[in-house]
Amino acid sequence: MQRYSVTGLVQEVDALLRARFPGVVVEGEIAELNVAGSGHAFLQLTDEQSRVSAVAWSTVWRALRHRPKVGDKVLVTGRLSIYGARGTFQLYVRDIRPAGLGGLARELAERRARLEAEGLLDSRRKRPLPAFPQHVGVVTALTGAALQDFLRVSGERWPATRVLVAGALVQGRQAPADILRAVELLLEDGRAEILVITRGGGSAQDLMAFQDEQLARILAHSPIPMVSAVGHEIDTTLCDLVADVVVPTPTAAAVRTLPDGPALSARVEDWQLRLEHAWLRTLRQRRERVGSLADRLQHPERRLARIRLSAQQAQERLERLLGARVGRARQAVSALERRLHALIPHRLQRSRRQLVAAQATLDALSPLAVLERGFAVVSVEERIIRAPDQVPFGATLQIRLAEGMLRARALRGSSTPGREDEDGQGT
Amino acid sequence: MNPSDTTDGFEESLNALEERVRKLESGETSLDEALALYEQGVALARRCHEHLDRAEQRVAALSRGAHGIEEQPLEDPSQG
Repeated sequence: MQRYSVTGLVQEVDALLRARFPGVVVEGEIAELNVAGSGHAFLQLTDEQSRVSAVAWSTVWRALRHRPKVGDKVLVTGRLSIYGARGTFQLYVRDIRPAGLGGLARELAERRARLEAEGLLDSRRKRPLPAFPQHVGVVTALTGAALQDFLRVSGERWPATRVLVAGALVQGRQAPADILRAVELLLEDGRAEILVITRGGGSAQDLMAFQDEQLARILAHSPIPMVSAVGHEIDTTLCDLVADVVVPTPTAAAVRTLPDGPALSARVEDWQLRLEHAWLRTLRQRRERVGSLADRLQHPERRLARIRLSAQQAQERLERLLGARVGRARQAVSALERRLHALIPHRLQRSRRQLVAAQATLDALSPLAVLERGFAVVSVEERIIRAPDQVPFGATLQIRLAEGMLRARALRGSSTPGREDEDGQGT
Repeated sequence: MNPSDTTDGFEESLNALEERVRKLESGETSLDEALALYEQGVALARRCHEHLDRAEQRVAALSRGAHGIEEQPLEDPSQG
């Protein structure tokens, strides 16, 4: 026997439940109802014997047209799954309707459950719409206001898209077959990239064509994305459930299907502006760069000029220096010259003065000068007499006076010895 | 294909325009490149406007005729 961990067992049973009950409709009475702060609703459904837990997530609960209360008899559509923490199965609610509305409501709930069981309502099946369709196929009444609304808005938004219209009856007994035929026509034509099925609002009875199970099944298998716009005043139709996109009105269908031309036009203009700015900025930057390069190109020339200037200044300085030095030399020379010139007469004068002095000395020493003062020079036979003994008795004395010569005779000799060879000063 | 028959050219033109503007704005292009980008951008913007301004018969009703699918012009309320 196979062994499971608790979680393993729960997971396996859950997988079985999910596979076996992807869509069920359960009829019962609401025994308990708690709406949590989160908005999720937790219910207990009962009949005479049993009880089933159900949970309606807040989005489902809020979308309900008729919110049930405790004691209500209801038809609950949903799927089954295990709530792992407790190991009990739960009904995950998709829709709750009052029971006892009659056969139609029950019938619709059952159709829905079947489509759900076939996996046709799976949200993962929903496809995105192409952003820029070249062709959009529209299934609607050719004479209806819905087509006019769609064309008006699509023309305002994006006239470049071609709208291929396949006319169909959108209400009455033949409508489902007619709509199918129109859908097939568009798919056969093959150009449309989006299929739009639309009509104006209507009563629940009017919308019955869009509750056709077979139509819904075929639409669910459409090779191109399908937009359902059949009016939401009454209820969600089966057509809505299988559609890739659901909108309330034909106008909304055009908005949802076609690009917003005016907004895109503004966007193109924005980009155009940016293009112009970017281009102008590029030009400006280039111009500035060229300018700065030109500046840098001028630079060597300026440097040369600077060099030339400094060379000139150096030269001038040199010249000034040289000039100054030459001037000083010249000054020195001329000073020397001047000194020389000054010196020569000075020297001459001095020499002259010296000469005069020498003469004066000479004059002073001259015997003639002495004679002038009254002295006399006595000589005997050309010998100057300094002592009496130099003169023998009777010798003739020659006496030289300042004004002339005298001859005299020595009367007495002298005994005083004298130095015979000593001469008198001067001549 | 006649370009006037296409509408998907708009998205491509707009994307190409954006791409060229961004490249030009990056400032990492040579002057020749920048000039080419600018000229291409101008042409692409013009193409975008052509797509936006296209006003032609754009609504047709399909029906099944004797020779297969037939197409007839339909009055367009946006052009009235």
